[in-house]
Amino acid sequence: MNCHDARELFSALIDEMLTREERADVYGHLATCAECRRELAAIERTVALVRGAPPVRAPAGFVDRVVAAARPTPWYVRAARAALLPWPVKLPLGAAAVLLVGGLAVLMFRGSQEQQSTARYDTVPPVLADRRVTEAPTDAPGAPASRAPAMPPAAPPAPAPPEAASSDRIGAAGEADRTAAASRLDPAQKRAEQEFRAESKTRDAAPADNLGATRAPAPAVQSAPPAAGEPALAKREGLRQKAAEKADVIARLAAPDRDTAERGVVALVARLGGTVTARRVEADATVIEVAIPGDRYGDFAREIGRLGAFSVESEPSAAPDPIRIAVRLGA
Amino acid sequence: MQEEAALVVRLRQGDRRAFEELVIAYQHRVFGIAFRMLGNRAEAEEIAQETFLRAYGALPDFRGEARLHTWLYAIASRLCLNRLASADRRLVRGDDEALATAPAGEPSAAAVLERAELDAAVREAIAALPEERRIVVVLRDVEGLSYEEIGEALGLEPGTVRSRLHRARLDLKAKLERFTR
Repeated sequence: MNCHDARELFSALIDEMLTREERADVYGHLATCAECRRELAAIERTVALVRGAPPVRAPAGFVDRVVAAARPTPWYVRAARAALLPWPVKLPLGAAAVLLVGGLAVLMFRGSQEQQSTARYDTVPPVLADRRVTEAPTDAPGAPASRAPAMPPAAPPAPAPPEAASSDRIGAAGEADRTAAASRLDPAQKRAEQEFRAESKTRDAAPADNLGATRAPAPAVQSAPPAAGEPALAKREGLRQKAAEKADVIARLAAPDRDTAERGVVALVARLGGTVTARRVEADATVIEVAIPGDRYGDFAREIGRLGAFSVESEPSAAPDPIRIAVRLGA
Repeated sequence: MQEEAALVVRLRQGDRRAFEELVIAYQHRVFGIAFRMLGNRAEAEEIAQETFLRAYGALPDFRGEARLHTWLYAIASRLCLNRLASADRRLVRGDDEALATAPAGEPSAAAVLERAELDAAVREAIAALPEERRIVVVLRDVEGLSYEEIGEALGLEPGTVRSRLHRARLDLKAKLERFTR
């Protein structure tokens, strides 16, 4: 046996896994080979080092965890686990749900704000928004500064008509200004408004009468009438569009008290189912533009004469419906 | 042997207390094999737990032809080798370093510095062995299994076990040479 053959058996020799013959051959070689004896000793020391290595111990609680894991899972727990999705699925779904809820919350919040704003604006007749626009020049020199104080004390604003929620009424004026303007009702205007409401009810009962559609809120600066239904809203919108066009009738009303005359015109227009579409104040006159149903123009021309000297500068041969009238109030 | 046979009978009868006794008896050995093979305590605990759970599930099929501990070691060895062969594990082979630096069961503070150095060197040398040699050394020189038991656990012929063990010891001798002069 040479060194190579002997060394191949050293490991088995240490483990006493050699046959008697193999062991005799190895020991015979070792008796004559000092190098192989040193090699065998080195392997024996190596094995001793490995076998003498400190043991590794399982972590504390290992037995409990294993036993618990081996415990049969109740059917309801298995069902619950089956119903639950794994985290890789649950996390994206959870994130999507959070985003969805957040988005809905924002939409609801925004919708609520719009509704609230609309409801507040609806307490003011649409004319007021227009009036605010036309009142802008009142800051000009010569505007009657005593107009607002001359208004009577406020009456409570009318409840918000739902159909009056029209975004175009959200004008440049602030809400506070609108509310203040709406509150400047005087008793005469309120009476006119009540009469107008009663008349509107009558008209509602007769659909053939298109005036029913003109039951717009009392258009005056001081009034805050309720609205009727969707047809009324549509009709009123028609009036407003018409008002944006050129006036059909241009007239003058000479009265000693311009403010009183203006309030009277506004009340008259409201009573006739019309609306004030614009108002501007000049140095020596106040011009108000109104739109009324065409078939009430005769009544308008007749009754406005009670407020002062009424003269028509131009009028169409046939009254359109609605008819737009520009009245210049002056002394 | 009689105690083990009685334990096997109780286990096959579904005695949960017997299973707990089995875990208590072999927890450190099974965990030790996993830890020396994987070099990571968390991973070793996972494999050790899986070993017992698989044994628990396979107890009805255990016929007692092998020793109970051999059977457990066979499950643990297979799980370790499978884990080491997995693609994910291949990417983190650097974790074997943990075996060299991981604390042993005994508190190292209580050991002399030389002994601690020696223990660390041995762990490092074992961890550096090729996997098929490492498992043979662990089962033989750490757990004390016979060649036949190792062959049975790993599905190897005794000659293959002897050959791999011999190569492994030569590798260890070379790495631990400064401690064996």
